[in-house]
Amino acid sequence: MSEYLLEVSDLVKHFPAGRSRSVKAINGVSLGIKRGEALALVGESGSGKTTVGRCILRLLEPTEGNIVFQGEDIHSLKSNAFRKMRDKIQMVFQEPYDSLNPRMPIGRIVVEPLLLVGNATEPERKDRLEEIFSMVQLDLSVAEKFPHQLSAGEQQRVGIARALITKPELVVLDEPTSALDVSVRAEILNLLGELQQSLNLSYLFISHDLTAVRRVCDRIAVMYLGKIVEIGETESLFENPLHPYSKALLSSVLYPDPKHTPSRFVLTGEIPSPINLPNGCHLRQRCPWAVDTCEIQYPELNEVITDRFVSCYRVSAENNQP
Amino acid sequence: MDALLDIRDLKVSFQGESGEVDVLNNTSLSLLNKESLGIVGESGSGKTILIKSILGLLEPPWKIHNGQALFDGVDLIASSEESLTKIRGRDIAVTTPEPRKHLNPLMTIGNQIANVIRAHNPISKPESLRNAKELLTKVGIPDPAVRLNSYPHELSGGMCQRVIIAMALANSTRVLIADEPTAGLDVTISRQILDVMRDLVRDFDSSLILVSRDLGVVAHYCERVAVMYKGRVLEVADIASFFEGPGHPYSRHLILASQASRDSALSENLSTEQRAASSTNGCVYYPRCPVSIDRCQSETPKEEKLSKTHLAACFRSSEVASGLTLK
Repeated sequence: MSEYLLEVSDLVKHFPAGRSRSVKAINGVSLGIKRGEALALVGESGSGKTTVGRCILRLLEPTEGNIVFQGEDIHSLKSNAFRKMRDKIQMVFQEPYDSLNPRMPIGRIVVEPLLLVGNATEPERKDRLEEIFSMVQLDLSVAEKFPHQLSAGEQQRVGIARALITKPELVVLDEPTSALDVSVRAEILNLLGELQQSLNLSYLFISHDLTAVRRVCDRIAVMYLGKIVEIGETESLFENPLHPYSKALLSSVLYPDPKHTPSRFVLTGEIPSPINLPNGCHLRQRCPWAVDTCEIQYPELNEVITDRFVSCYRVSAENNQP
Repeated sequence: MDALLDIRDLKVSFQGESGEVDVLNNTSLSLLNKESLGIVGESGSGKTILIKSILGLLEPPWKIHNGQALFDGVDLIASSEESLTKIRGRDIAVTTPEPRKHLNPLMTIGNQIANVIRAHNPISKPESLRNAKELLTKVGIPDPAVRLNSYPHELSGGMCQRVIIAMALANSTRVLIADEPTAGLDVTISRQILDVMRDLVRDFDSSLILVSRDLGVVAHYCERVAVMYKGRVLEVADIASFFEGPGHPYSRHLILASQASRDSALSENLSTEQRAASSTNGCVYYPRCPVSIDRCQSETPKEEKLSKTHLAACFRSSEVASGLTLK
């Protein structure tokens, strides 16, 4: 039995883009999430992080690679066999309002997953609804309301309640706080953190909001153009990012403290198109450390220091500040 | 120091079907010469309406009841549309969130920038295009000569925001108002945009009003900050004092809510739970305030001076600034 609840290996996903071209959204991603662990997937627009989440939920068929959940390769299962597993993997979406059916009362939205999987009876569903509402700190009267009658924060609590009602083991959170105001965002992050602890949930937390991730996640994986460039324990990675892209990304974060002014690591230009990926390392055209080798082959992800994997020719255990 | 732009007692309401709602409630705020002022606040706090009202861009059902916005001794609120047209885009310019929406999709960006220049300067089209090219270089757009002929859809979001900044600065504006300039942009691109904006505002000797909900942006790119909540300015302070000891419980709440560490937010009461406001005269923050006292229900706190550069509209501001726990 693997130590991982979810194990993704060599995942590739290319989307056809006409004229025999393709958008190379994911180009070989491997990661594992342990039971009770929160893993963050961060990166900028176009890095492929949402596509990874969608493949894990089997909302997309991968082009190559395996996704193994509790020992079963989910993409080789027949769809009705996978359906039985759906209650174990759930998702919370980015836009709280858009992800709720506007014509359904909240109570119905939240119990709907129970109608689709399992065979809970009416009173069982009602008990479960009450239990889940108290977990996400929603008043039971909300069950009678419709989505437009709720605030954005309440809507996102409903989204979380709907994801948790089937007692999942893994929750994929796709930018759960990016549509929210700061104080509501803080509440939702605190709630997500508490639920993860009390229910021993595993999270795949997809976000470009790095301060949010730092508050909730145990480990963090940094993606750039469909590849993980660095993965490691959250605090250690935030304190000392090693890959040039992680350095640039993390040193761009503005903390609400005027005295916190870490030195900037600046990349030139903008992210290239995933249709025409550069050969070799995807970052080399923007990277101040690039050397000839970077053009030839994509660097492997190597364990540079304990529990820290970095994919860069210029970073090694002896020399991580070229 | 004299204010370049002085907003005094601005009251704006929205005439809805079920009555009138005050959106700005006797808001006063001033922008000093050559400074960068951040305005922070959550959705609905009135930031955007404040900008629109001083530029004369509000139309019914919005209504300005009273107040002044003095720019160089001229009251913008009382000015005619004709004189505002001369000021907008020349003396005071605005950048908007979602830059692509505010660019004409059917016109090259070169022509769009040139039009802004020619609206205020009697120069020929070729000359205005040369100026446009220079501006594109200044905002850091590669291949400016080629990009002059690009259409907005050919540019990334970050590039569109640079074009909008170029347009705003085209006539060496004296006040640049940047409304959420980094909304929807990735962090590394956001930093590039903010850097360009800060450097150009300095080069042009302009003043900057940076409207943002991101306290991190304000902490690093502004000299002073004003916090808005429900149409009122609750606190105005220099950046250092604000982050060291905010004088309003709401400001402290915002700072804690934006922090990245795991436990800072948990140790204080960050609930947004509302209790009913018992009177319309009370403090706007009373329904959420964890440290309110009886007076807060019936009386609107006046701005209290914590120092020469630090004002907060709270009866307990000096206690809050010196670290009163919010429970």
